[in-house]
Amino acid sequence: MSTPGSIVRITGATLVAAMIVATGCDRGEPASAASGAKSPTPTAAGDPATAVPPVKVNHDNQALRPAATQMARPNITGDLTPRELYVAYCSGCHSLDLIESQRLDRATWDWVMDDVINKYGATWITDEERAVLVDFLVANFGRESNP
Amino acid sequence: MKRDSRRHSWDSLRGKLAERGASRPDLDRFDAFVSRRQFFGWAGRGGAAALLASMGAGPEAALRGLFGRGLIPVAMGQQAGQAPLVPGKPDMTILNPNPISGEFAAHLLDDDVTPSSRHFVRNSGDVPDRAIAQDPQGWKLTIDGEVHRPLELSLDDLRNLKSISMPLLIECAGNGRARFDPPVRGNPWRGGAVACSRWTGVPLRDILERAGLKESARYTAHYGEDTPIGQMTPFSRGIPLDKAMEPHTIVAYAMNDKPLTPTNGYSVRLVVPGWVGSASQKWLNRIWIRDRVHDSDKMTGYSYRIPKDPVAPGSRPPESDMEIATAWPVKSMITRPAADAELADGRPVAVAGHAWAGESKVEKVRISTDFGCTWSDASVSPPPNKYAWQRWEASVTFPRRGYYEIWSQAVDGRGNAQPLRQPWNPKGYMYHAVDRLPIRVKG
Repeated sequence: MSTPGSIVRITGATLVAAMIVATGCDRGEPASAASGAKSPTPTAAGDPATAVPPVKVNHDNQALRPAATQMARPNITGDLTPRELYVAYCSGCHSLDLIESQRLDRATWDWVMDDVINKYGATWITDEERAVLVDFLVANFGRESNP
Repeated sequence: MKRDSRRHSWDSLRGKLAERGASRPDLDRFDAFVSRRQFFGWAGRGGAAALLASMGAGPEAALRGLFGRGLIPVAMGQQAGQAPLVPGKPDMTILNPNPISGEFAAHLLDDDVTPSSRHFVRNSGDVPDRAIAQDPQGWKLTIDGEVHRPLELSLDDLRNLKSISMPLLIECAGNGRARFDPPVRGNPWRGGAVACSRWTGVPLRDILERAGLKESARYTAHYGEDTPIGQMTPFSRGIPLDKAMEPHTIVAYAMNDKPLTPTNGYSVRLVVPGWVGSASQKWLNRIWIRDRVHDSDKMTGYSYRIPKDPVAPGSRPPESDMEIATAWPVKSMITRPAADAELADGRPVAVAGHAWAGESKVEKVRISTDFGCTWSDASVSPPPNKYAWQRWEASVTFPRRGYYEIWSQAVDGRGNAQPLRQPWNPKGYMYHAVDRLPIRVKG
């Protein structure tokens, strides 16, 4: 098994390489697209996500998790906005289009998160993160959200 | 593949990963991603983001799926939203690029036999590498469980068995989900997740008879070669033995007289016509005969299950009140004219479409252009076989300008008609209400 140190190293290599792809060789995307760890945070007025305060990612209860799950824990440090948490966690397994096409009430988003964690295996999501995600989903893709 | 500048960038990325000590599984994963990316035509930053997703946090633990397919580093932000172009299906409306799901506008589904280029795609996992390469080498189908003689069949073995070839209908259980009110969770299919392509294959009955069913055999359990996403269990469903033994239930190795397309199940899939599409396992490699109702993840809870008794819209009954979704009720769709067509007043307009009825036959289709106040009968063709859709045709004339809807309502051989409003269920399965097509008439 790898050490946590190697997680950081490989993640760094992947990021550097991906920035190369994003910045010149591929589609001529501007360099700013991949630079700055917090740049994708939307700041547009009226974005409901910005009304929710950033969440401190909680690693405190990692000791309760099986060792293998700890190994898989991503190396996120610092604060993430709800939108960053949403992008990072949800797009790992499926495209965000699936989520953004939905208009669901809180009970149904809560049910979706039940399945994501218990049925689809995203067991690393903490209770606190889950609550932030549900709030974000209801605020952005709720019954009354504009398509 | 053309070696263009884009390809060079992937080569150089691979070199950099290797230099920085990426492990062998990382690099294999990278290679698989690049071939997949080029196969689907993923472009630009969305591709890079998807790469990061597939590489995850790096080490083997993550790649084994403990962190799903990984984390897209926050630096990459939102996926670029560029939909992949699925080879051979240029007109497909992509609902979800990863895992890939897409459908076709109704007017593109007018053919009696659906071309492979217009067969919908609904995937729960990754398309297997074998399917992308269309490489039959090493594929085999295992039949085991409650049988006297477990079998392993190669593609050649299958081709040497007696086959049938006919148009057969497959429809995703969630087809029409977008029309549920209140809205339900899941891919919002608008009605194009249905197709009636020509399938060639061996009746499952013949294979099961060869294996010799034990007295204890009750149900099938299907498995495929697709890779589950993250920690999801492999996608698996099953059918009761009487449906498995029905002569139109086939193990199909040809689609419209060619090998199956990668996204529709190459090398071999089940075709369980008239039932919810998930029964027709793609990339099939194992049929386990069980002594009880198959109890996989996709057979239990709320997956592909509907309420036994009608429920109030928006409510969720307990799991014990749910039952497995099986055969489709009677349905129709309008494929001519196209939605939102602009028509002239006072002239006859050809209206046409398909109708189908699960385990029954369509006896009648009626058309309304005044929101159901009056109806007129369409002509309905007999089906080429029990499980193909039936063509219906009518002619209507709009006397005045305005907004209209063409409604079609099919009636099956048991007297069941399509309802005017869809009975609600919590996962939005089996939409079968009257089809409604908006048009405009100019004076």
